[in-house]
Amino acid sequence: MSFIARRIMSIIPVILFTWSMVFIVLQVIPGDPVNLMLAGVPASEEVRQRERERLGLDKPVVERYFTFLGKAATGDLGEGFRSRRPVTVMIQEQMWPTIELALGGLCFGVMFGFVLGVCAGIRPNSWVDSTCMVLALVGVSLPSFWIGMILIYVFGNLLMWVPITGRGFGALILPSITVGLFVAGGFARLIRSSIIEAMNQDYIRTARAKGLSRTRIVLKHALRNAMIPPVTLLGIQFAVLIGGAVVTENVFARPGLGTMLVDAVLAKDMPLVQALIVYKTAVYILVNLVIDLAYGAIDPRIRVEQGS
Amino acid sequence: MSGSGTLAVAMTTSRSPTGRFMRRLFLHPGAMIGTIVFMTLVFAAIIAPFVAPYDWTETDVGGRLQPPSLEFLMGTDLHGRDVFSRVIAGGRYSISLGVATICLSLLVGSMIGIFLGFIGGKIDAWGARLIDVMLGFPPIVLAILIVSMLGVGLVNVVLAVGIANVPRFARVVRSAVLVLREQLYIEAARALGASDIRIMVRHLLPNVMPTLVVLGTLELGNAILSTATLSFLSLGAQPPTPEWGAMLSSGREFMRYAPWTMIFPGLALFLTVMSVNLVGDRLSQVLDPKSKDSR
Amino acid sequence: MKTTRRTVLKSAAASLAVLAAPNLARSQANASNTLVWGDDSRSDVTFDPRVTQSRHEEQVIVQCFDQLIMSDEKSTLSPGLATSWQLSPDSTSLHLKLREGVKFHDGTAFNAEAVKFTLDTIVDPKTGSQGAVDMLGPYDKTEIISAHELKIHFKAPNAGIIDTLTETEMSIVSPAAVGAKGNTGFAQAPVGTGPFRFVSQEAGREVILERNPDYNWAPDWSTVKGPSNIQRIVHRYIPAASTRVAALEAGELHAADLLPALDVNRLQQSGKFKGFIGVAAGLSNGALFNITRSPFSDIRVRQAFMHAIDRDRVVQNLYFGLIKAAKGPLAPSTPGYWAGAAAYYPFDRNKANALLEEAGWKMGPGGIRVKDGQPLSVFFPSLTNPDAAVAIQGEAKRVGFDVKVEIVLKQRQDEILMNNQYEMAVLQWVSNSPGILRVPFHSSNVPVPGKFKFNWARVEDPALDAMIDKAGAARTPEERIKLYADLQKEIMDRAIYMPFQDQVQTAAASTKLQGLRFARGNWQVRFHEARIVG
Repeated sequence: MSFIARRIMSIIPVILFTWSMVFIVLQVIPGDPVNLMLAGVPASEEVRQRERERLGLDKPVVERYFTFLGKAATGDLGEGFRSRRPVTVMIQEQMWPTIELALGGLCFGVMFGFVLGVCAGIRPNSWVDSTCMVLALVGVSLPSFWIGMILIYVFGNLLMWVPITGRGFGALILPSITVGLFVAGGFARLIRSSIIEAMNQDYIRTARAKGLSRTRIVLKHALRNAMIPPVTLLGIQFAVLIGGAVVTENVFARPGLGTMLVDAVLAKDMPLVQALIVYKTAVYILVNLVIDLAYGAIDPRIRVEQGS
Repeated sequence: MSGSGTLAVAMTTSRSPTGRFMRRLFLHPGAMIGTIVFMTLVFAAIIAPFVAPYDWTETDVGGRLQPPSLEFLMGTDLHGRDVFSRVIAGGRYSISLGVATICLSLLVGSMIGIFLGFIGGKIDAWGARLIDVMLGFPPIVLAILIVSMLGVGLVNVVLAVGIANVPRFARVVRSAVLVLREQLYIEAARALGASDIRIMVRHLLPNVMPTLVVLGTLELGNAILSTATLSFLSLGAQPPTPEWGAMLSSGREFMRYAPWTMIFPGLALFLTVMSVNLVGDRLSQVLDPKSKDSR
Repeated sequence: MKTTRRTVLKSAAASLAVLAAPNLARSQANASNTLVWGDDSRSDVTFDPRVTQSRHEEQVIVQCFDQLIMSDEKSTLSPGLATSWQLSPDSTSLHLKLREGVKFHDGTAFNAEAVKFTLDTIVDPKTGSQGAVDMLGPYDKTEIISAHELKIHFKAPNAGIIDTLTETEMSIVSPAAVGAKGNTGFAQAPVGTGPFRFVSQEAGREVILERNPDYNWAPDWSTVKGPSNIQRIVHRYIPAASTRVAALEAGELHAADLLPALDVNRLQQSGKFKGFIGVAAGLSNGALFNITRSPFSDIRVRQAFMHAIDRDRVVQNLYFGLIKAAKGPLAPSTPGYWAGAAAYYPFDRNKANALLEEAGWKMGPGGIRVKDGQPLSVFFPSLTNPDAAVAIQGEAKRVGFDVKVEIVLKQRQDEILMNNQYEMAVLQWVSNSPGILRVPFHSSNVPVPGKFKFNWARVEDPALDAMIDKAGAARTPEERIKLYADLQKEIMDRAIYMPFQDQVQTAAASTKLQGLRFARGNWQVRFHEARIVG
């Protein structure tokens, strides 16, 4: 338990560091947040000055940094510049669509990747293997904005099989496939090599010598031990996806944290950018921790202490 | 096991190590097709001014949004420009952007990686931590952050994607150096009084080179995709530059009426990335000592 | 409490019910009296009319609020929350009588206090108004005469105030609701007197509005006097245009805004949809020439540029005939539009060439003109609409201009404009008042480093300033129209602005949806009179 506590505590300096870096970067990025917020609005100079004061932008940088830090320490990450609402609430609102897409993408990714990887791994160097690996490569080579548009065109516009807008299961299918194709490539490859490795282990040879069928062996014995690298990959993919899939969100016009971050950066909405970065960093570290713990569950031979 | 067996067989059948390597690399259908496709695209891009049927920036060479025909092989876009000419010329931008990006990432990434791996200790530990955190950001998000700092434009796209990919390179190089550092000849060089810089440049760098080559090839496809993505999000190429991502972005609105404005640039992009990945894939198999692949 | 299996199950069931609730809302969207609108915004952040300047947010606000004076899309004024109004002869005060028996959605009564509260809070810095405060101009105070009678005082003449009060930004808010929720809470759950009340929102997805059953104070021009036929409005955010079109065709929406021209044409031809096209009032979309830098410091070069571009054809090509080329600094739908501007700078390539020759720019290598060794090159940063920039680039090249287009991010545009590093830039703005001309042409609005303003032509001329000031301080509406016509003529004579295209709202609606009406300014769509047939 103390191991987990230690790991969680060690997040704090990392977050403080990234947070400060982002603060500095945001000072360097050109552009006045008030002008960016008011976009093309012909608001008068008085209005702009008032807004600057309201957002505290008229104060010196150092003062702002420490005010901000002091508030953050008490859990108050501030309000979005334009929305004037707590950034934590804004992030919460976008969290569910993001998780939805991350999970959907992983489901498809695992499905495609598993099938390709197992088919390839059972008979390495056969034509089945080659075909599967080329397909996996296609997955990572497809520009997601392009395949996303083609999916919309074919299944949304031409065939009209799935809804294009709104929410719910139907509207999640195409974006999930788009994300899944990318996830599948790496996953398939790792499954394949893990299976090949496992098949060469002595106990599998023994099992084969006993006359068990190849597929049966793979599914019952080899896979369990072959799962660690692919699960690690999935964990990392999930951690990245839960930070938002910018391009897929853009193509499918979905809300999500990726789009939110890009918009916030472009608008120099400082509190929101800061909060999103903190969130992303924390999630990434936590997911990595969970992966380490999961090793123990998958393979009891690995003790948690070695997982770091 | 089979890997060393192959090596033994290969050694007896080939005269020079390079020849052996090349043969292993290219006598593989995937790598061969990949190389041919990639070379064709690069060659077409280079000689684009001579092979493109029309000037790719000239507007109104045909009607707007004309479907593919003998006259316009891939149709025309909203401004009546020839899509075929633009797709051929697009390689000039998309491919060279990707290559430039990789060079930048390689340079900076290997410098950081060699430094951290060699210096070791607390600095290395914190550096590694930082790299891990940076890896948590999708490179594309990092790249968008950087572009918003530098401004829109092709050079800035290269800088942005290049820098955004540095952590990945740094991490791989660092772990390679960690292994090398413990090896005898480094110890020997140190015993002979070689300076740190000298050890890094003369001994470590050449030894991580193969890793860098594999990594560079494997990541080239991604780099091309990332730069195109930024242009797709209108953060890269400026009009009338025929960059594939930018062409896709402007074709998006007319997808239903003129799908060719979207399909062909996307196809070119996909083929480029796919061919690069095929070669990179094979390269890593050949160079990976653990490779179980016996062909 | 002891946690038993049963309580766990119970709470699971409860959370399932919560999850199912949005789906319930969705199935009701198919009910015959629910209107589903596809909006091109990604997400709105405030629905407080006193604060916003976003035309997306106003699409919701226009349904939920009433103004003191209501204007239809043709600028026909009607009593709104005020039944009569009387401007003092010197235009420094406005006497209003208010409608009785009007209730806010929260049940509180509308009265003079509410008007005073709204206007006072607009000018209160704590509100952080971004639009309304500028519109209200020289506001001094509101004097309450009785519960339904009041007088608004100004520090200086304000002849435009009657027009101003019809703006969405001047909507009257419920003081009780603002008091109870605070400004931030009110912005997320606004309370007005309009035909629809705000029910709920889900960030980035949709806003739900419901009919106000008590509504019986519709303006004179409204064909529906009582509550709307529409029971419920689902305002769904769909930022991608192609997705709005597809959703419209799939029957997921009844109507959607800002559709690509090509799609509107096709949708209309199908017979199942009707285009709903409005030329927005305000500044038309056009380019301001930076007169402080070569080559546009020479009026002949500016004139040549305008003569060189066949704006009618280019705009026709870009928008498939749905949008027309603009003919002056103000859109025709703006009050005070001067039709004389249309005769200026017709397409004439020969004249353009002649003007450039006369100005000393001779044809050089590569088809680009040169003078004193300098190429005729102009830098054109473009924030929106790259297609138009590309088309202008292509046309100008034919007479020897080298137009360097750069698609810029907002912050880069700000830098370029504030630091005077451009030759031309595009501006447009939706507004119901010719007073908007002050924004791009008054010398006090020239951008300087650190201060982002809109006089991108960088014209600083006391004579022009005097005309703008005089028109703004006009004491009678007739005088106002005359002065603004003179001003528009002066702007065209000076060749500092190239009108390019009308700003057009290209909405489309299913033929089953009838009774749509634009709000003033031809941008937002009012749903009060709408009904769904068949």
